[in-house]
Amino acid sequence: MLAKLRMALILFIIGSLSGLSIVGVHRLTEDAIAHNELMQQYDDYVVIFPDIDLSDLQEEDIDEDIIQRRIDAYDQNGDLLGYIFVGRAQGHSGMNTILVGVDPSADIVKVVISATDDTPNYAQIIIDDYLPNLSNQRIDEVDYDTSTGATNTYNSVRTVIDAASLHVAGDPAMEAYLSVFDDAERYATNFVFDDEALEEEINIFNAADEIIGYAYIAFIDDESVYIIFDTDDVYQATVSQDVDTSVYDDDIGTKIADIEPEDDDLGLILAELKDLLTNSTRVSLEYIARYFELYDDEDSHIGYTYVGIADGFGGLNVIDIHINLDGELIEYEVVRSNDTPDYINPVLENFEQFIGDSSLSEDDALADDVTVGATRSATSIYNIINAAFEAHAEREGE
Amino acid sequence: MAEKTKKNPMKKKKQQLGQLANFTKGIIRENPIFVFLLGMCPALAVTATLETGVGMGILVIFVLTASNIVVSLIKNFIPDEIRIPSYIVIIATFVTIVGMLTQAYAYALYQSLGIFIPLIVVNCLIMGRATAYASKNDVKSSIIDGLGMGVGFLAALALIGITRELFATGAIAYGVYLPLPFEGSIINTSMYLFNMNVFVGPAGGFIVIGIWLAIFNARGNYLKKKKEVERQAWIEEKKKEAAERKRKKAMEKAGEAA
Repeated sequence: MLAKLRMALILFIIGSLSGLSIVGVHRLTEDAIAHNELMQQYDDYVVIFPDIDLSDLQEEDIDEDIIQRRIDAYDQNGDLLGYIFVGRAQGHSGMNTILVGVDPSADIVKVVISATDDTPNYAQIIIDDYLPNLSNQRIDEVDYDTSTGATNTYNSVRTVIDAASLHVAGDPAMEAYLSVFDDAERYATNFVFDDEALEEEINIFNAADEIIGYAYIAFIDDESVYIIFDTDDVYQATVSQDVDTSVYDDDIGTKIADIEPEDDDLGLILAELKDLLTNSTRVSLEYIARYFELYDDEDSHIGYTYVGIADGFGGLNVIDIHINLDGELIEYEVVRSNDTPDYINPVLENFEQFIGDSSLSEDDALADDVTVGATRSATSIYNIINAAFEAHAEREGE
Repeated sequence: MAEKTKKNPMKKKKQQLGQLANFTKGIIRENPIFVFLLGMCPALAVTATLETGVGMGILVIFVLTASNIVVSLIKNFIPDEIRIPSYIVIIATFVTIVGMLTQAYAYALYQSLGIFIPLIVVNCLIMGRATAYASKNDVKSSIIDGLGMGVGFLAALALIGITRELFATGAIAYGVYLPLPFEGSIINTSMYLFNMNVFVGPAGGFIVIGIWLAIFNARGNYLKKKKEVERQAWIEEKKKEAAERKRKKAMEKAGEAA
């Protein structure tokens, strides 16, 4: 016991001395580091707006998770050149600092990776081959590349641009939700559809983090449309800038099951939603969005389909999990995935060993020889199937 | 009277190394990269130019020497069970310090080396010298070992950096990444032969390291053969001496008998 205490004490002393040394050097260097970073950012400002007047920078600190600062850039004549948003987002090996330059008409001028801990060769791929493609695109309608070879670095760029977009173009989604729910505080994607018109299901939260409603984002004539329901699936509104939705105003306060959609674009989406909401049940579990009853060819009820969603390597993976009435896994189907097929396919094959089982073994599901190089794909599938078993057990309990 | 015999050259080599030999051993004979293949990650990743290679080499010399000093100083207080975690904390502390100093006073180098500065923590050379040498020797020897091995590491990175930069750009620049008060080119040729971009990338790193490893191996093989020839010659000489002694003894015996 004494020996263990002695070892703990020695480690404590070494750790403390290390910490003190680091604090001391940090104090010594922090001003110089801050100065270097500022000079670096000034250099980046000039890269974005070559005519910028560095003596007249108007900077505003923004207390957000991603966007840290906004700079209004003026030239020597005092004319507004545009805005620079300084943001930080998670890359492959740490936080990346990214600057997004936007002109007054909301077009991206240039995107610069100012600091990164990612592997230099990978970061360079994004800098050389993908950042130039972002210039001259409208910040709220950016067409991102889907496969870059340096996904995490590119995703960090994407995160910062999307966050900057909210400052430039506003957040039309939040405005739409606030028009229905005064107490709407935040929203989060609950489900992503594999559908041309219907894009996402959104959970709307109040300040107490309770779900107060649902919204469905759809596209009609390339225009975003927010179809909003309360927690009882009662139709509340359809908010859109240009699409005329007044024909459904009489249905406000009606449950989706009782609405008779017209034969127009919005009506087709409402019909799809009616079908979805009346035939499925929402699940308030992480990784599982809803479930449907599952029938065979002879219309016999044979089990349930749980729709799962989790972050993979290239974005969200959406997977249908079929479980029979005895709680055994029948099948799983990838509905949507942007993960590299060469990585996700062996992982999917590995999960075939669990068909007929009513639970997953983490050791077998995430065995090193299968998941090496595809950890995030494997973990996302594991989380979804595991959550499906959990949702099934919960449903059985009810 | 006992006859004088030549000393065994093998035995001579195995004698205690002096401090000078302790310093120089890491440069060629026990070069961390070309002989022990330690620290290959930075050797491949940051040697696209001479300056980045030298920059990384300087950082490693600092971390290696400093951690050797501390490990040597506290070696008697660290129980075996917590030796590795203690050394890792010590090394990580110096790497963090060196990272901050580089960020403050050599920002271009800091940006160029990027993630490879924190990765010095997992450089096998540093942990290897801490456990194999500093934890068993006095502070003075550990400092010299750290400096010598560090200089050997730096020399190897510089050699790889020079080769890659020259073949990729046809020039060897200075003052770009290191905080030197001047900048320019040591060599600047616009020869078409040298504009081979492959040497900037990872493939170039592998090719150049392969070539230098081959050269070092060829040198090692040559020395080995030379040593073997010396050994054989020594054995032959000893055999001759033994035969001579035998012959003399036999003649003495024959003389006594007569």
